[in-house]
Amino acid sequence: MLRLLGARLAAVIPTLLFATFTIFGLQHIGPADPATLVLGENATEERIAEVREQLGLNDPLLVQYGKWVGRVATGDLGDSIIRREEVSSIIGRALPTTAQLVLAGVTISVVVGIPLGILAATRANRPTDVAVTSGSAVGVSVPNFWLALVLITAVAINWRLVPARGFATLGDGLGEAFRHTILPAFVVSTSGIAIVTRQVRGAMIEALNAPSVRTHRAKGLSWRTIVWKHALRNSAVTIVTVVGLLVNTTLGATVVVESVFAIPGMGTRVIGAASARDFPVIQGVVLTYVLIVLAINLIIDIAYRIIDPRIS
Amino acid sequence: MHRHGRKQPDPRRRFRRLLALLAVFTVVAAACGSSGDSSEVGADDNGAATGATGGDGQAPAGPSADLPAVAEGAAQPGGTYGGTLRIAHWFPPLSLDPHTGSSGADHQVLYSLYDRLVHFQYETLEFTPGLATSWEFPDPQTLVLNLREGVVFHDGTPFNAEAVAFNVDRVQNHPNTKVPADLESVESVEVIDDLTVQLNLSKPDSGLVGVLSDRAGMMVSPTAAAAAPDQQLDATPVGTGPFKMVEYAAGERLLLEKNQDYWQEGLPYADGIEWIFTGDEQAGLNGLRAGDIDIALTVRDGSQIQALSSDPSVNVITSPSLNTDGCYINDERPPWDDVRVRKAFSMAIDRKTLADVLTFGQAEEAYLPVPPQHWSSSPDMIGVNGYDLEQAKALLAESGHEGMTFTMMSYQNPLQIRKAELLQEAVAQAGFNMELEVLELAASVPAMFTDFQYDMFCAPWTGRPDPHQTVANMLGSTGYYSLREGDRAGVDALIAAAVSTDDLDQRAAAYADLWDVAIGQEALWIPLWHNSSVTVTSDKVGGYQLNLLGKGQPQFAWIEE
Repeated sequence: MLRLLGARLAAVIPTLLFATFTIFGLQHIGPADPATLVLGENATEERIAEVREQLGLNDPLLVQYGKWVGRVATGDLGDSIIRREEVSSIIGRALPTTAQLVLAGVTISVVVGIPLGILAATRANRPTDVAVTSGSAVGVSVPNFWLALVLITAVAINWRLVPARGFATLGDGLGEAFRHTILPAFVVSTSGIAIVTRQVRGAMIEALNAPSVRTHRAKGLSWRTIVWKHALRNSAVTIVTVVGLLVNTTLGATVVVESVFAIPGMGTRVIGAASARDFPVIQGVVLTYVLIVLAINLIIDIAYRIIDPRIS
Repeated sequence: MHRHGRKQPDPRRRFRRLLALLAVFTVVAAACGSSGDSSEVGADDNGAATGATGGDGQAPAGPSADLPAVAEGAAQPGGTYGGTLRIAHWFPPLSLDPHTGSSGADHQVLYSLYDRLVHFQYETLEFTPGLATSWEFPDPQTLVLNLREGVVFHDGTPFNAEAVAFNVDRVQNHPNTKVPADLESVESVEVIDDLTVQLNLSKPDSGLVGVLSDRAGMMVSPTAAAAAPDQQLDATPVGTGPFKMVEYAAGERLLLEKNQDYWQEGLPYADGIEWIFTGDEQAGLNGLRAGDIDIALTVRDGSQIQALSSDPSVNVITSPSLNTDGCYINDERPPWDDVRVRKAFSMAIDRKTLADVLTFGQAEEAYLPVPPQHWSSSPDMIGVNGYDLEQAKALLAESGHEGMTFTMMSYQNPLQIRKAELLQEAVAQAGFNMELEVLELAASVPAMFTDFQYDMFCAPWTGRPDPHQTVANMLGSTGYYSLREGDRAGVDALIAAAVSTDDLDQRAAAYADLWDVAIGQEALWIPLWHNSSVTVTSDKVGGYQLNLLGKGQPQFAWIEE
């Protein structure tokens, strides 16, 4: 197990190097000079030169990259250019918010998607299945920002059931957190529900058609036991993979949805930073996203082997 | 809009009367904070204002009549005390330090934390006492400020002449100051006594009074500023304002509580303000309609306003503002160095139609960089270089540049791009072949004004409290937003003349001359339209006042519950 973990971690390193280089390169693509951004429009040439020196912008690109990686490795993500706040403290505040939203979204996807998938699989090609399958097609295709606006108008503005904007984390109390999370979490979960439903349906149909199921029936096991114990366990690898991927897609969905709900998470931060060309913040947030995705993939890899010893 | 030729009160005389009233009012307010007197000032001034804006005999079309006529900070009678105002601001402040920050959208937050030496009358931006109770120019190069007694900063530091001297030095010499140019003319500061300070100027600069109503006049606590990290109050603001900071999550939320020792008796009304930075205008409006926001500041999307106006649970407050759209021309570049080409461009634009289409009727056609409500405006300029397609074609033909191709730059913003496309079509009628290039906002301004890469850039000018800041920046040969290498047609001298006296009659006359030459004869800047500023509040909010500066001041509003 430890050797496996070591091998997997080693495999992550090239990906990480590639990702960090791309992230670092971001600021050299745009036309705006970070020094001018820091100083504002009336800066003198001397002052710009001075700040360029301070920011290390005169070094060769690879040297700058090396220094940056060195600092990042020690947890120093630099300061926001625009707001003079440490990037790590910005992320420290935004990350719990986004994490709560992602977890809630994934939970909804799983809790709704698995039963729907099983339902469809056990009634394959019957009207219930057709309804579930077409419903999931809608779930995948509906644009998040549109759904968010519709739900805000209906649920928050017209019926006043939940707040229309903002966020509360668990630290603000369970009730407040729930009221603020439920609507955006549902929006980010829609495509997840659809994906889980479809994958579970497919895996379950396959599992239910396996010869072992006939044996179980012959042994006299109840249909319920066969479905929930044996077939579901055989679909577990698919489900774990899907849930892992789900964290990634849900994380992606939060970028837009956080903006629509004005939730102060990482997505809002990265959008704000992008329009202000606040590179240290963009780099820090994107790097955090990359690390999350890599970590999730690692966890899935290892989870496979625990669930299904046949995979080596 | 033909205001001249009709009888109307002379705006300058009106200002005199206003100053007199204000002087009386300040004494009265300081003595007893009586709300009765303040309402009287309001009533009188309101009458005069309606006369000026309704000069064509018609009821003024909407906005201007809605403007409250009391001086800034004057207690409006009948307010409700208590409660917390929840204010949504789409643009999170970049810094809570008035001198080391520079974003124009920060002011609205700063006003609740800091007082300025000079405040202004909301409707006309005429200057009124703030932390300075009065000021005078004993000679054109000396400004003496008399300071308000008994004012303390939130941290207990006394406000006095030493504090003013500290702040002037900070604006000029802080390593990260963003507004040193504002106090460029101040050569030295003399503390005469505890409540009198004298600024010695290197040149006549009566525009300085207006400058002191902006960032450079916001007084920060010397004690707090010295103790702050990097000596910057980015996240730890300490002023003398009506509210003081309780809690701040940068970019998200700022919680303020009432300053119990505030010098304006009876103010503020609210016990606290919760600023909520949404990053998005729509989120603030959603919150307002859902009941968890009380005030949504600065609504820019004109398409929303009609629907909001018909909602009985909200108030839409519209006011004229200094925010003026116009075109910056690189007139060093041929053929733009030919005034006929510049005028032809100006005359090809049907301002009224374009403004209506773009802003859903929220803008007025412009012939000057300042709106007609402002004291420095000149009624003679109305219609000058205005829409006249035949004349535009004729001028362009005369210059020999029919069918000329040029590049206009715009920045990544749906409204700005739509505007540029409409202009493209409009000027094509007159024989201009306009190409459009779109840059990111952060890259656009340096590309135009630092690197001189484009012929033209059409963008809103947000305005400054004193017109000198506007003209020096936009028209003066050394201004950042002017593209001239040297003086043209004596404009620099006209700009200087307008600040060589503090007599408002004389200043207004000097601006009339400047407008005639720089905008009328030379067409150095092409005014397009004056934008309104719009703020939406719930029907429980009272006393919210928009002003001509276009940066709303919500600190003295109240909430009924």
